[in-house]
Amino acid sequence: MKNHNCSEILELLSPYIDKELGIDEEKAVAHHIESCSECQKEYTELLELKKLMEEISKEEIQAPEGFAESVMNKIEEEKIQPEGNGKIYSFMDNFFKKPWIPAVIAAMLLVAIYIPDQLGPLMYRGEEAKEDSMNNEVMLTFTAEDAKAKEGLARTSGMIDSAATPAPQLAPDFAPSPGSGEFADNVVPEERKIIRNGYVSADITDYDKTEKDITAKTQELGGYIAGSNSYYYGENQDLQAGSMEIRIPEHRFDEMMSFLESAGKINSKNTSTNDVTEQFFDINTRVNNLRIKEERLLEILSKQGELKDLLAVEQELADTRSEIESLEGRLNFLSGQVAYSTINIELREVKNLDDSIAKDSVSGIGSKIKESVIKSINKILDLGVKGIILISSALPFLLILGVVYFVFRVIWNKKKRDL
Amino acid sequence: MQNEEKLIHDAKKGDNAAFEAIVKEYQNKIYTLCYRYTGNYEDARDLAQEVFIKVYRNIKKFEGHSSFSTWIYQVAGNTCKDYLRKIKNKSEFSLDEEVFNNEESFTPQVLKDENTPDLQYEEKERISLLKEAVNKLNPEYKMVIIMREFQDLSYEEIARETNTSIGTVKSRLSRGRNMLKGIFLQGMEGSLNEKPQLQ
Repeated sequence: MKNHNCSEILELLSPYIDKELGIDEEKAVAHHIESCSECQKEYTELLELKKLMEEISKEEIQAPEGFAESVMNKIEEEKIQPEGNGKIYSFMDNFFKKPWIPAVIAAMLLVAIYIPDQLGPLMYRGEEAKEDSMNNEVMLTFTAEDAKAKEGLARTSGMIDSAATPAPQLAPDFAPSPGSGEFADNVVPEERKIIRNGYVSADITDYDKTEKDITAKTQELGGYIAGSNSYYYGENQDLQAGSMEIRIPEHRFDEMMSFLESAGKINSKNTSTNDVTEQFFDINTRVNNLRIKEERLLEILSKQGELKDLLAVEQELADTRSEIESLEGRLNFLSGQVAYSTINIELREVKNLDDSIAKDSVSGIGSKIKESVIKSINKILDLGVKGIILISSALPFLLILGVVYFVFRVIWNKKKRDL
Repeated sequence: MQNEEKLIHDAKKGDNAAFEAIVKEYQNKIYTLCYRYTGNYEDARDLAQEVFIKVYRNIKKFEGHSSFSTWIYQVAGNTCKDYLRKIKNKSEFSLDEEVFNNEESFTPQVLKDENTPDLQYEEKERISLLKEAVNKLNPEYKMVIIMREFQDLSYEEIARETNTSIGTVKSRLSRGRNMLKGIFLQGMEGSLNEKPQLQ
């Protein structure tokens, strides 16, 4: 009885006699060979073959005479040594038995070498951009500043942080004297002459009110407004911006600065000092010398002499006096600068401050939501693109990783097989 | 064997006398297995020697996870496998002349063949024909058949040893057995000059 299943059954006969079939298949084969004489014949032949093989496997052939000795001779001749020490072996063995260990090590190396390289720029890019925008802001606010303030720009950019954390204020009577070290230390024991300058750039919501407040405070502290100007800007020309220069008694400087800091949202702030002690001393000495010269000239003049000589002395005296005056003027100016600190203020009127509740924030909420949703989507897209770039740029490394893993696998398998 | 553990322990420490005792204990089994693989006494001798040298070299790696006999059989199996692979690559697998020439000059004693005296002449003849048939098998099939029939490994173990799947083992064994049967029946036909009869 030929069955369409015969070819399949014939395939299964070998595992059937080895008892390596599943229960269902075993039943199917048993059932089939009962009814199919051809397959049954094949089965009995295979079974017979297996029985004969069993007979063979019972045989044990004697190894040639002196086999063990020849093995030992070879070991001694070739100085073969048992390899490896148990502990090292078991470590190496584990190492190769678990091929993922080298893979993990390779992956960690990859991360250590590769990720900072890749992520670094992505992260810095953000920070740089932030810093750039801050620098731009500082640049803009300084464009209308005087030359002195521009000199301070380099320093300002280094002091951007002070917008967030107030820079340590210098004690008025104990300020360092950059650039005049030796002289100031040894020759001038008297009080240091220091000119202090301040700069504040702030966003405010009401220009006129703030200007008034500042003026009032300045006068209260015994200072004065040296100058101010303002202009209108914005889409509807309804916002004011401007600058003020105020002079404040030197010992009230810090008080004024902290008042200004609370006036609005501070964009940037700095203070600088200029030690003029040396200049002071220098000019003083020259004035004193000129005074002595003046006295001598007066002495000469009081004596009788030729008219021509008298005229020359007179001329010299006039020059000396004018020089003294000029120097004293300079001294007075410096004294004024020391006594009164200068603060430059940049004010810009804005509709809302970021850190206060905006009055008109409810208006146009729809478009704002839309805008922020679009912004978020853009951010997600940006992140996605960055992620894809990251992954695709990692592909070559993954490839290498794969090769390394494969090689380890091969070594591992070979090691296992070699035994 | 009760003092096997001690022998292994001593051999690990470099006691060559202990190792020699181990060799003597296993030499016949290993030699037989090598002969099954090679079908050639000369090669079997070389292979068996190689196996024991490998065992000596790696004895410290034997940590007693399996029995020593299983381990030594594994080493032997792998060594023979490599031999068959080499043979296959060289395609010099012409056993007819080689094997029988060697066998004539050097025929070792067969031990432990308990059934032999009781077996009829015909039975003995058939066994010897089957041995020849095994020798003539293509190495690929010979390997799985030896592992299955002589080393008594499961399909799973064979798959692991040969780095293949259980399915491959199944089909190789099935085809190998059919080939073996074919070669064997041919031999019967030739030697008995009559219709082959298995039963």
